[in-house]
Amino acid sequence: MGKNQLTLERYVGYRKANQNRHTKIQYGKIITFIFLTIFCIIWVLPFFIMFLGSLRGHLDNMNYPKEIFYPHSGYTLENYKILLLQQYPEDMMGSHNSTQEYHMGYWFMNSCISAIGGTLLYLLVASLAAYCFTFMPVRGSKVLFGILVASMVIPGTATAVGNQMNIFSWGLNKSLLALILPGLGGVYGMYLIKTFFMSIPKDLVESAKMDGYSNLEIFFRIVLPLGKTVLFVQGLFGFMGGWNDLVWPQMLFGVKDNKLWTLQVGMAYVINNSRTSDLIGTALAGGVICLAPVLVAYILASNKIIEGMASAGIKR
Amino acid sequence: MEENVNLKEELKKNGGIIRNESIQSFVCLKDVNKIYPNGIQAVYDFNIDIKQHEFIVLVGPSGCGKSTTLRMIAGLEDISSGYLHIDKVLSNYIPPKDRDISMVFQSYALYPQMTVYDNIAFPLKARKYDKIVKVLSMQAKMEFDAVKEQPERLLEGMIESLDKKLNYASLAVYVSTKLKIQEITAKLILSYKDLLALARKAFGDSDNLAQYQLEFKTLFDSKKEEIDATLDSMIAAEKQNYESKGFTIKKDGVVYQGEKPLHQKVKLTKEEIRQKVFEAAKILDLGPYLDRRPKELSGGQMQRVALGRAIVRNAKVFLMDEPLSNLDAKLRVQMRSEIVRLHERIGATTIYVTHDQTEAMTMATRIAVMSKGWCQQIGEPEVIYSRPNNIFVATFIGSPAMNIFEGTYEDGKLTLDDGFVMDMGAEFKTTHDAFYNQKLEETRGFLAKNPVKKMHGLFLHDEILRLLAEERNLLHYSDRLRAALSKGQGEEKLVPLTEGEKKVHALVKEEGSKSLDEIHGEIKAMMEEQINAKVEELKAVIETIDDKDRDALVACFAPATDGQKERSLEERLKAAKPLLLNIMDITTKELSILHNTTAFSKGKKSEKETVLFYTKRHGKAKAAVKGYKSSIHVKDSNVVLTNNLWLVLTELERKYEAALQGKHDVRIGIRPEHIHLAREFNSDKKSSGFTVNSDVVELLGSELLVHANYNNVDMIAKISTGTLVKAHEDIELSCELDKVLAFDVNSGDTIASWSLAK
Amino acid sequence: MDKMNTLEKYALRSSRTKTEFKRYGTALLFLAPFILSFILFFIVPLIYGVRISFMNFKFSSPGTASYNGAQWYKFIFAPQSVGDKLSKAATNASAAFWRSFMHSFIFALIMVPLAVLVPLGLAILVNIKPPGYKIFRALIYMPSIVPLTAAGTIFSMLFLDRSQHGLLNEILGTDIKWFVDSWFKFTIGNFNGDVALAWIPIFLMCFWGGWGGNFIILSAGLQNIPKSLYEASDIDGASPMKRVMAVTIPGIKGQLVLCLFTTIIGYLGLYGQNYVLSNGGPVIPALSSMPGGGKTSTIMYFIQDIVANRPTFKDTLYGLGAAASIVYAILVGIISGIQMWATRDRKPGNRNSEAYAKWARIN
Repeated sequence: MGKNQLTLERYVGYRKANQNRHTKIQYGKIITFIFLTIFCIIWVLPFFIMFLGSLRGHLDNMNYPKEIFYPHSGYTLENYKILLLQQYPEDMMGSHNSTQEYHMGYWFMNSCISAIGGTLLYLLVASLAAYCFTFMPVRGSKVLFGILVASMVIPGTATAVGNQMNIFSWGLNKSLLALILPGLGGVYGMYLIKTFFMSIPKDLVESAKMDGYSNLEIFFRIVLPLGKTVLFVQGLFGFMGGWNDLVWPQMLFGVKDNKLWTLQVGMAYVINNSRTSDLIGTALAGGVICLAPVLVAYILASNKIIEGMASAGIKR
Repeated sequence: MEENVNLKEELKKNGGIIRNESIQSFVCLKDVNKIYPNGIQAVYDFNIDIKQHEFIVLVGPSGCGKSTTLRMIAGLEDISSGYLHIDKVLSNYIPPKDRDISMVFQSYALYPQMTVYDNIAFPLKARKYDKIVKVLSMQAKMEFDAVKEQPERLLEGMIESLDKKLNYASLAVYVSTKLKIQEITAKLILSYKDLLALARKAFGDSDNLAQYQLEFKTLFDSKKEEIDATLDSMIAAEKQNYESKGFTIKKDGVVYQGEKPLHQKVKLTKEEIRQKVFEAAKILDLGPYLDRRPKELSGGQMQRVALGRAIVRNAKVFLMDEPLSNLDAKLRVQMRSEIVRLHERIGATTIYVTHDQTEAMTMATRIAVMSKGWCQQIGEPEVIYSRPNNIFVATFIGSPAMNIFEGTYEDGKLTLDDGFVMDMGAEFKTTHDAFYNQKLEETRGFLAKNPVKKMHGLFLHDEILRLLAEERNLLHYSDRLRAALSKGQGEEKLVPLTEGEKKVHALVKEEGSKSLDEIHGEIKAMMEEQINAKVEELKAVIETIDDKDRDALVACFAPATDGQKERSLEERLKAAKPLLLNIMDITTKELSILHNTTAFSKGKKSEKETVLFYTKRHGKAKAAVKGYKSSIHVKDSNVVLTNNLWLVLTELERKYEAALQGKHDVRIGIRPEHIHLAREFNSDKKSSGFTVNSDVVELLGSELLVHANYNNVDMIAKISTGTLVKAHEDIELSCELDKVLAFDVNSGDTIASWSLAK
Repeated sequence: MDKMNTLEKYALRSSRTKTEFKRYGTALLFLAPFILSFILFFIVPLIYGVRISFMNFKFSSPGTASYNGAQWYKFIFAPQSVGDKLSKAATNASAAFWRSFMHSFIFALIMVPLAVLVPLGLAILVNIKPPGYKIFRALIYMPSIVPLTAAGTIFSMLFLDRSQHGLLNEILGTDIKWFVDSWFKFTIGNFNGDVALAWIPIFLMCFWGGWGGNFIILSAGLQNIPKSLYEASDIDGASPMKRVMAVTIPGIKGQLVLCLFTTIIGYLGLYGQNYVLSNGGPVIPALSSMPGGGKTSTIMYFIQDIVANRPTFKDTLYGLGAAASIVYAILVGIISGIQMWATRDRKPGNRNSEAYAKWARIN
């Protein structure tokens, strides 16, 4: 009995060892890996189509449209030249296609100024307010904060028309300030920053006050450095929002103000033009220019960006 | 293969479950090892037999493998090798839910979205339970027979149920639980509308209860027969139903399938679950919190809920993974006694993991002390305390910790560094000699084992390789030096570093006339001698090996037979190496020698992985030798493996022999509570006095903790005294000689009779 | 002594007012920029917007505006009750509005489950932590950082007509006019529906770049579930399904709700994708003179047509744009309200503890 029992026990071990948890997990991981690899290849394919397509000449585009990954007559910067320098290839000169007014440089600058400037200004204004709500409670500030939070229910669309009218009546419609200023009234970012500030120990602020620092000094020296995670996250949201916004710039600047357009408005115009011509390459080149700064930033700091977004998603 | 087929069938016959009737204990771990996929071994050869109703505490510092052991018992980690039997059933590969265990986690692991009630009920809702099938209506009839003689009770129950404003269905449920009768009986009674109507009337008019009772009795008596008849017909129908399926029915209503009662897997009903949850809540005093969510509870309450979830299922084994470590000190003490009381009350076999030795000492029926994956000692708390196996257990258990002094042993006397002598008597001398004789025997036994011999062989193999490399290096060095001298520049870059290089340097410089060939010849002769000595040694070692690799190994170094080409030394070594590396049959016992030696001897850190992954490590050593070849100057010639089991064991052998000869180092352990003020302590086991200057004195009620520096050790003495000792005061202390422990400096084992018996 | 007392009292009182004053002063200093912006760019425009929605408003000469009652709301909700002169315009405007509204609504209805479930599935896969899972995470999120117009260039290149060398048409050798043709037509009662083929590229573009944020949030949520809960459920004997229901879903409930509602609101406000790809078209001939009169128009497109894209409407229908945006805002506000209601902390009541008390009395 005894010996037989032992062999039986060994047998179970031998049989189950092949299907134990660890191997199961390993198989699961491998299958997941294969699936995700295939998925991700499909998922990033459009990036390659855009990038390689932007390096294709207009003649190749017309004559060999299927050769997307390796253009028939090689890669060329022709599209970028059209877009950035208004240098059309000789065989296109004089045709209706060469009359577009592209101000890529202006648009790019406008987008940069409005997105970066707007974001930085908002961070300052909102974190000052968040500091006040968190660390300097005065009578009534809770009620005020409640009103602000309640106002988040009302979406921006409700104020868009009024804002548009105001901006025009103040004569700001010929200035980039019009892109920046209305964003300063947003409550959401301030709410996010305040939520984070609440996790900073009050003792820190109070001990600094005992040491004789003023509120402004505490704000800049203690609270801002401690809150850089949330500032980064909100900065990211703000920048992406500003950079990608199409609605508000469209409401501000008409066809005549095309030097005030942002990249998004300009690109929408480029796409529209490319539709009626053989200039699809220029549109793709524009897309690359539009995407490049965001993509570079993402590749450099993707982990930080993803973790920041995740923390904002968890916090709420 | 055929055997496997047979086993397969046998296993199938047993339903995949293997019971081993020869196992005596309730939970049994035999030679359990845990090696993680990344190669780190967390538990070595764990053996324990746990009896039913025992409270076992696994205790040890963090990272000692105690939680891993618990998780292996729970089934949350796979067991790498060894056997786990729970209630005689081989459980290695049984999934956690089928092991019939319950567990309390360190973080409580309460489901945050569920109320306390739902949390406790969760394990009950999740599984099906084995039930013996009974004829329901027969059961009902028996209960009804008991009830029908007391119609007043029936009325009372109905009135009380009506009080709850329940609907008809739940009224039946309530009446059935209230009167402890089956639900079908309750439904049957309630189906008589006039009875119910009367009960309603009585409920509305509580002043005339007596009158209603009479009325109810007459009415009920008239219905009794009818109810009985209905029940009988139900019984007949149900019986027929079972019998038509080929079951037999015994008198007590149990349905039999052939000889065995019929079992059925069923989920618990809502009412049963409620009953069990309430019982658990009652035990743990959780009644008022049943509707709270975990986040609304305090730490202690959360802890109790986690306990409730564990006890509600009446599992065979309770596992607790540091359940009290998240509580504050006061609550911890309170919960500690609560858990002990709980254990006394339900008597479930409990395995409890903690790093807190106080918890272990106060709660356990038996303690298992672990360190670095090794189980150091298993025993009752008082045994662990008074008779520790080794210095680790001795210092880990007890608070404040045992004072350890460096000292020497000679002829039955222990001497501290400052000359304080403790005469332990003749008996201790016998024990001491027996202890070291045993150790010596053990060590020699290990040295005679094949894996160890092979390690020795490997060590020599490396040594020879190193010498060969050195030879090449010296030849190269002499070339370069000569070239530099003849050019008249670059000599300063070739400063001799090793002994060999110094010799060669002298050789080249001193007699510039000697030709390069002559110098090479001298170097070769010099190295040849050393190399040959090592080769001979290696051959001798190989001769003593007596396993399957032996012949092949001997052949590696045998001279060439006719027609064979003479092989170079390098080739021979290369052929021998894989054979020598075949040491994986090394036992864990041998490893444990290495572990304990390295862990507790002076100035050495544990490198238990060294041996286990000797093969891997050897690859690295080879790389080191390679590097040796290419570099001109060798900075550290002792680069090759020092942590070799053979080396360790020979060293040990030498030390044990020396210990038997005369004076040798030991460590001396004295518990703080065994030190007393010399003037207040009288005993025939009293040691002579020693004087210390107290640094800090802490008053703990009736006891004093005196901290003092004695022999460069921060000593603590726990003195119960009437006279107050002040800080910075010279006091004379003495200790109880029979409580003093001596430890071997090499293995850390206690030099004592119990340690011999182990 | 008495004098001392009064002096102390005075000093106390005066210093208290002083510190109070100072505290309010600093608080105001910190708050002023934000509150001022909030008033100037939120409160004032909101009121102004509501006012405009009740006005006959000419964008080029705001001074001449006059109240016209709820006429623009009548345009939207009850075009029949508008006077004879405007009734045809009102009927058309109403048709265009509701058409756009339905487009938004149905699109969101289709898109939202996908944009939550697909990232949830992928988050679960990534959470298994296969080798290189951080790279997968980064790649899966990557399309979401692509600016709308950049993505638009890719998808318009894929879906252009054969004559314009659209890649898909070239590869398949077909000549599908993605942005002109109808996908399918249907009839319900006396309503004739006509779904444009252009929805397919719009859908794909939304799907490609539309749920990266959800994916990140959900996978962070999954990672936040303590491992011991899974182990506990294992020991408690829960089946895999029960484990998901008792541990996984409750563990990420907060993130799920967040994703659900941001996604709903996001797709109700769909504008960029259909503007860039199909320009709201193909145009419905009967509604061509109306804002949002295309087969891929949405509610935001309708508003934007009035206030930005087609300048002629700025003088004629500006008030309608304002009214439409107020209606849309109320709708979104209701949805946000539902979200807050759905995620509120529910009190479990005291059913079980009461039952326990009774039970304890019996036993």
